Amino acid sequence: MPTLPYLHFQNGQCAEALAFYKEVFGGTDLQVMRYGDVPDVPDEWKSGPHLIHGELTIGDGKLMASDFPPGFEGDPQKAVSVMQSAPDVETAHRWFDALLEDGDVIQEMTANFFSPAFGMVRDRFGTHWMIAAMPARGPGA
Amino acid sequence: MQPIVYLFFRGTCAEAMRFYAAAFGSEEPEILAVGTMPPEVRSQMPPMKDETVMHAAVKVGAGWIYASDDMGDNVPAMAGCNVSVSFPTIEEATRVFAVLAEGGEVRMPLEPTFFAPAFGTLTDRFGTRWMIMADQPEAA
Repeated sequence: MPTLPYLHFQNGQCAEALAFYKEVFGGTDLQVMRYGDVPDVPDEWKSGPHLIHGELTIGDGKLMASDFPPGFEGDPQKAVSVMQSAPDVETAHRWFDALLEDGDVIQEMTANFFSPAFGMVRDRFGTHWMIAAMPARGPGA
Repeated sequence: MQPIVYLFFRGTCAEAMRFYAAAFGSEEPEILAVGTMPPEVRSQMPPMKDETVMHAAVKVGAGWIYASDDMGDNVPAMAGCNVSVSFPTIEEATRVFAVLAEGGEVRMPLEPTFFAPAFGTLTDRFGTRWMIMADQPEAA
């Protein structure tokens, strides 16, 4: 399995966030497991939308995520972004605009010295994204 | 298309990325420091030290981690996310877990679980949060 971002969501929003990312990126094979699906969990974990694990296939890649357990506030995402490269400028703009719905622009999408289209957005679930049209790889990637 | 984790450090990016390359047995990380930028690019940027990292990439397991130093003044510690890395064998997972944990904090010791033959979590000494696991034998 590749090295991948494992995101954590507050307020039981993980399932909703993953469904949103499925729509934005045209993801496939969304799998979710709720806290209530696990044997021997506390009674207060048995209802509610909280996911103990979820994963979404995006192209040939994978994103994983979970909710903080019911009753735990947890932390918003900090000091981390998810870098997602798009096959072309048009797709990069489409993803950026879709993620921006009720979210915030961190950096407007523009051409720069490493990508014909690069921008940063925090979506409405608190996930920070770097969206880049290829070629946008790191120096060695 | 694989989503890639992008980490932000408070001036320790280069040191952290070299530590990860050593821990995972990868080649030296690619590090793009401010000091290497051409003057015409640098003149457009806010004042920064030569050694501040603008972008870095290191191979980690079967994927990559990207990172930079955050130019902001008030950079929080990493939260709300882990870097998930899985290994074909328990031995490899155990070795890397121990190296990453040096000077850091083990949050959940590496142990068998219902979903993996070995799984553990830690925060390393640079503040990066990790989930380390071994693949199920049939998936290896």
